[in-house]
Amino acid sequence: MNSLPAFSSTLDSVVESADGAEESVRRFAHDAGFEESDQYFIGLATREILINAIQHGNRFDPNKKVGLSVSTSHNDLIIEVTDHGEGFQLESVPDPRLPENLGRRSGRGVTMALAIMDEFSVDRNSPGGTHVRMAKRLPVI
Amino acid sequence: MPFDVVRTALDSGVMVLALSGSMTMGSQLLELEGAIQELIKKNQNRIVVDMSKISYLDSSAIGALVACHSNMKNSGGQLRLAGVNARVSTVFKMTGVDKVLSIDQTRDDSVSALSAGA
Repeated sequence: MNSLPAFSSTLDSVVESADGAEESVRRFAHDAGFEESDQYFIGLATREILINAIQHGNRFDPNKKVGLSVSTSHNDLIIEVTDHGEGFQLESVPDPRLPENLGRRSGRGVTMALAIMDEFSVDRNSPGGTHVRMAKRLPVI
Repeated sequence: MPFDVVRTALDSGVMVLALSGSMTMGSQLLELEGAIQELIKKNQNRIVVDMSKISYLDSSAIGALVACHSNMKNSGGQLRLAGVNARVSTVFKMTGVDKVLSIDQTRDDSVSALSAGA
């Protein structure tokens, strides 16, 4: 398919920002040819990473923004989220599926995004702050 | 993304909380936890959370459900989830919480399980 026009957005560090952003990403996924179920889960992965950026990255600081960009490459839908926090190392995120972590209140968002998306990477040293990049293979039509 | 809660007290002593909508991070999750905590304080120790009209939930909602389940268990009661749809079930499995939450196919199944244990 031809590449869709990419879109980007700058979001306030409030939970409500995730609602509209998720809806925009779902629409983009629809236009990229994903079926409804994939749109749902891609939207969920986006919400989880946005909330991480808002809560743990920017710590709800009204002076800090979260960046969201969505695009396609030849094979992938690509979602990128930036914040101004210290970032995290993927290998240091506790696995919520381990018996000792099953009862924890939080810490499941990254695991959900990893399960949903085909690629997931974190760059803590990006010029704009922490940069999470997720990719999902485009459906074969 | 709001969700609604409808309470029904059954003759068997089981309390059913029927939820509908989308469960995501926000004050409503805290209100749900608070409501269940209040029920526990009033010795209402058998609760069914009917999820059949919940179309979506995020990791914060999962955390709230796990906390409610744990609080109920610690007080000697039981909290069961009923009617979880396929997508929500997928999310439970992704995060492993299907192993800790008590989940039944239907609300009647949950009510029966709690009534049998009374």
